[in-house]
Amino acid sequence: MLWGSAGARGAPGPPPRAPATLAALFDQGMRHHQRRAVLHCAELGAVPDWKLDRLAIRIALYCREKLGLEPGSRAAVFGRPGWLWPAVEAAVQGWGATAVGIAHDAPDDVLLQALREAAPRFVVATDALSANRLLELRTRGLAARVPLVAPRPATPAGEALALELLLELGGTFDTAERAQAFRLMCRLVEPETEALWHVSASGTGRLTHAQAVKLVSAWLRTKPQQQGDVVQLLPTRVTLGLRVALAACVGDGRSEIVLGEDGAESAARLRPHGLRASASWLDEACRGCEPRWPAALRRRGSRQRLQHRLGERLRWVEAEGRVDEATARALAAAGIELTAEETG
Amino acid sequence: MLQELGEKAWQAFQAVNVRVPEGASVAPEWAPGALPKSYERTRPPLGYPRETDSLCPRCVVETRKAILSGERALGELVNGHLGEIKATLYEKGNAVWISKTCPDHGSFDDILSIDADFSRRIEARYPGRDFRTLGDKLIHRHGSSSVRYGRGAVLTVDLTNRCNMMCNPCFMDANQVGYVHELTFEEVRKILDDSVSFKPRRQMVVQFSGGEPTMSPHFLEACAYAKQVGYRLVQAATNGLRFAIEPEFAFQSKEAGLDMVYLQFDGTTNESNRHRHISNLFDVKQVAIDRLAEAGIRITPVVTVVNGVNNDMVGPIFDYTMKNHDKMGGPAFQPVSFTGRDEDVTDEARLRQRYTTSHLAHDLARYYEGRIDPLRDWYPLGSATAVAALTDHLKGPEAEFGQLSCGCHPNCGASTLILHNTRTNAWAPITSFFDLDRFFRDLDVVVDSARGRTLTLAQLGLSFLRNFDEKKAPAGMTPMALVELFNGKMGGSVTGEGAKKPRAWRITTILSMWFQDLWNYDFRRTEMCVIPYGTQEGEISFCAYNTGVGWRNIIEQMRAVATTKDWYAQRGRHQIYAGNRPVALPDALKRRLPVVAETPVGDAHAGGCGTGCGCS
Repeated sequence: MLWGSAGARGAPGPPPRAPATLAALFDQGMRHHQRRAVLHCAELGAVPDWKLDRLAIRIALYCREKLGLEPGSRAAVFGRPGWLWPAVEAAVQGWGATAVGIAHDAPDDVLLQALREAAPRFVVATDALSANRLLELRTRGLAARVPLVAPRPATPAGEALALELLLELGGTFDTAERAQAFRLMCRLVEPETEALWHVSASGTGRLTHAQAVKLVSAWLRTKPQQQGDVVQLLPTRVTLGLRVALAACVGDGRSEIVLGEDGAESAARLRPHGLRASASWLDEACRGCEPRWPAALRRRGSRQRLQHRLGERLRWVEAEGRVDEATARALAAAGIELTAEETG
Repeated sequence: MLQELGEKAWQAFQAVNVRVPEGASVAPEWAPGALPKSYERTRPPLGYPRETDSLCPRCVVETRKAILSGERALGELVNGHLGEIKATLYEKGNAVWISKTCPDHGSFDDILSIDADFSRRIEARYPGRDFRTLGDKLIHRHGSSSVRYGRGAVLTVDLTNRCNMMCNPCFMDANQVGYVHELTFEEVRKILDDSVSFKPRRQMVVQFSGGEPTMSPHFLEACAYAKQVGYRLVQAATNGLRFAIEPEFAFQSKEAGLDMVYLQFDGTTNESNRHRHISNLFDVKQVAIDRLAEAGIRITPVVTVVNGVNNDMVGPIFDYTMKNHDKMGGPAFQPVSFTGRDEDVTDEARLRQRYTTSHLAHDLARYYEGRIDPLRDWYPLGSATAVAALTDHLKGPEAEFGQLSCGCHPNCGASTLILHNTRTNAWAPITSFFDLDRFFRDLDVVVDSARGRTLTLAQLGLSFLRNFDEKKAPAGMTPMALVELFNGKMGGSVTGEGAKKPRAWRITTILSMWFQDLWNYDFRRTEMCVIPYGTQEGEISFCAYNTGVGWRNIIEQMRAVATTKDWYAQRGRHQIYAGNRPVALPDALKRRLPVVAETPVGDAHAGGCGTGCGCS
């Protein structure tokens, strides 16, 4: 697979190369792509590449200008899965800073320890509940008063910066010169620079860009994306595996990511080519579709039933956690490749 | 031979056609009623001499100042007739003049044309205007300045008055007026939603302008939303700097929905652009043109022409567009309009610098030694009404939008259609071998008879044949090829949108768009304006907004977001290119990037992860 070979248009800038960093991967995906939208989510609807690129640039410019983001610094992203995760990560990593990702269900002590260790310049809460939780910890004197960005700021006013305001001011900062400066920085980040932390109940992992890109490459090797692929992500929480999947699908320029959209009926409607979901979701979706007969005696019924239930285009499934034996058999019988993310 | 055949067949067809009652015109849902027959179209008063309603250049400025200062109420502008006086348009020698007298400020005279024969020919070729508007009371509510006819061809939306240049003079730029007027995205959406809320609901080109529209944070979203509303063509009036400095922006704009740019273009050298105060501005434009062309965005260079200053460049500019035909279309020349701070121009300077469509026609005739003939080859912009009527008829009652129709007043502008062979670079006005006058009259006959699609297309084909002079046509140009070229211009409504365009041939235009100022202001023009501004206070005719009573000043100050000083204090400054310094172009910013090996597809597993990330 050639990186950037999805690019239908002769985009300007450096020609597509195997990216050495997540920042370069994002930059390349935004320049070389062939899809209607990179992301679909409830809050923003269909997000074309240009829109995600602009969001990342505006977050990056605001955070540098107003919140002290700079190469070597750290910024935290905390909360439930959503479009903000890839946008903020791209913004932070593009400046050569570290994106400290904290799952929303990390216990208080893990959350506070991570914030103490990382000493981020700011925290972006990706949902109101996570923002409220941080504010409460702050009120109790447990969390340092680091600037907090939130989609809907909690009361009292002034405790958190509204994301809408950040994006509005970031939009004014988004001039040709500043955008180009950010893109150049993305391309200059060194592979050995620290790219991310991932903080969860089970511990904290830290990766350089080189290590992260290796994970992305491995992910794409087992789930090669084709042009027009729809990848449905149904995360219950943000895991390192989810962040890898997002980086891969955004960066390779081919896939359209559907984020959220719960319920098996959504899969039938969206007809994804790839699906990432919790083990329990998959067990429920595959219920009743496990083959009852040995392969030699098997009718095509169960395979068809499952494929029909999941949109008939599914090639691979990645499970968060361990699925039932019956689920594994059902997927195998339907010709759907199953991989599992064992750790968060 | 083909022409004779076409002529005989046409006559035979019409001999039967006139004996069969005309079909009923379709009444599509987008229109206020049935499509008008050609003889049902209305016209403004034309011919010379004639009287019209105009403005006193001095009264208007005083009134505007009084309204801005609060001494007079805005309602007086809407409900009164402030500054309005009668004017007479008349021939003097072989020129056409406008003359008016204000009881307080005396007489004002200006030239409208240096060639009365030319102006009479242009007016005679005007086919009539579009429907009156319906259901638009909340959108067209500007008293005497209200648009009353038609739906226009271009809807201009000023996204921001901020700019990254400091041209002198400029009456729009935030740096020079002292306040920032910038639309929120919700306001852009409302303007576009309102624009399709009344009838006739036609296709228009949505043009984002400013200031510099690419400075607006909502530029890309605005392009996308215009497409979402249903408009097929989106363009930007731009200086091009952003596309040159940030190459990715051209591609993102295309993806967002931008189809065309009206590119500010004052000449083909850095020297001829020196009044814009950027020392390498033409070089920058070249880079912008390349980026836009790579991204698939069409370019119309737009030239403000001032007599005695740059009118000698009109020929070289057209030559430049032909040489770069793979990147750009024909030029839009805009004869100077004395607006903004130019309203202080002395009478002597105004008359010396005045440039009109007739000047342009003669300058090009001289430069090309008669190849473009002022009387044969120039048509009012509104002559496209006949083609729009045919397209509306062919698209039938099911069409969601009416065809884009440029039915403006004949004094607003004119154009000439040029046929160009892109392989040999040979070109000629279409009218040198094709009887366009008779073709337009034939179109009226075809549309008025309102036959079904097959008979309509048959008549159209016969009209092409009978008006096509094979003896004078360029080698290789056939009637069928010309039909295909017209089909492209008509959105595919003749032979289908997927029909092949003839290779090596294209039609380009030389446009003259002559905006008014206080000395030649004519309300008969503004009330049928086809290029209104979409604003927070409804849609206003182009000239009423930029000049006339000065709706721009009034609305921008009413809706200013901040003073420029406060804006910079709260939001920081953006780069402004001025002071005769050069713009640093992307090549000048090249850095040395780390080299990362590419892994060909076949070697994907040959050592390491195969992606060249450095692992092994």
